[in-house]
Amino acid sequence: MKRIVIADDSGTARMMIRRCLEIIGLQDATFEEAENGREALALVKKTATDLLVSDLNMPIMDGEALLQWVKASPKLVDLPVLIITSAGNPAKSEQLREMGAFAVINKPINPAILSEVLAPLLDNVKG
Amino acid sequence: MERLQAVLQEKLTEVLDETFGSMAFLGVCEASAADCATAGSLREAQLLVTEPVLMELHLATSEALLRQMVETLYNFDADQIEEHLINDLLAEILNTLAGRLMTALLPEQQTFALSLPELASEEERLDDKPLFEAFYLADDEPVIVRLQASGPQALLNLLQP
Repeated sequence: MKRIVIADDSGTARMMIRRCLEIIGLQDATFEEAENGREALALVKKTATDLLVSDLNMPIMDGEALLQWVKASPKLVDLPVLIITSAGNPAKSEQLREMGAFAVINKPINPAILSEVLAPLLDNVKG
Repeated sequence: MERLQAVLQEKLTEVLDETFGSMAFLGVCEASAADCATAGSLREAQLLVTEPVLMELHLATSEALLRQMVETLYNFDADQIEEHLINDLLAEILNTLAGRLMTALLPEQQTFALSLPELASEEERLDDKPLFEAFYLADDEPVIVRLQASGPQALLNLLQP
């Protein structure tokens, strides 16, 4: 069974992200949730993870810092990081992709866009 | 400032409808302050836009609408709805709305930064005449957006051409 970590300070957002991921075929994945970047980093360090989905704006450690930490770690550098944010625009999205984000999606999220963006990864994550 | 008001009204209406539609399959329609006067309690959340200009955005809506949206989103019965779910939903709607609004207002290459949304206490509600306010109804329930900016001219200068 494959593993996905969702990081967002909003429980509503985590629920919506998880629901969308289940709708696009990931209902059998193991989901773990984090309320901030520090919690998410601890989760991905502890157990092998196939996908990290993160908001940008979070307390304690934001999504940008989380992305930097992940991409700086030899163990985690290949972990795909999908940023789902309300604060993304083309300029910010480009910055985040240059930092190593797999993709950047703007909220509100929907299954169709998620499916399209994650298509290259889906076979690997569904396992 | 008339141009700013007109642009804010147009863009806010678009993104509010988009946000409510995507999150809870609800449409919004423009309304008046009188339409939004309600005997029921309103919940209000606030958020700061910290870059490129300093703005304060407030979103107020009825507790009844929030409860209805939580029921839909979580597929809960009414008695399963906890207070924190209602507050969290309001904060997330405001967070999403603020981001979409700034993206709609600003040129593509202009980044922006938002604070974390917070519930507004009675003292923190925008009672003074804000720079901009707009009234809507969603499923006959009030949705009110208020905006205050420290430098409205600076915001006007940044708007998409």
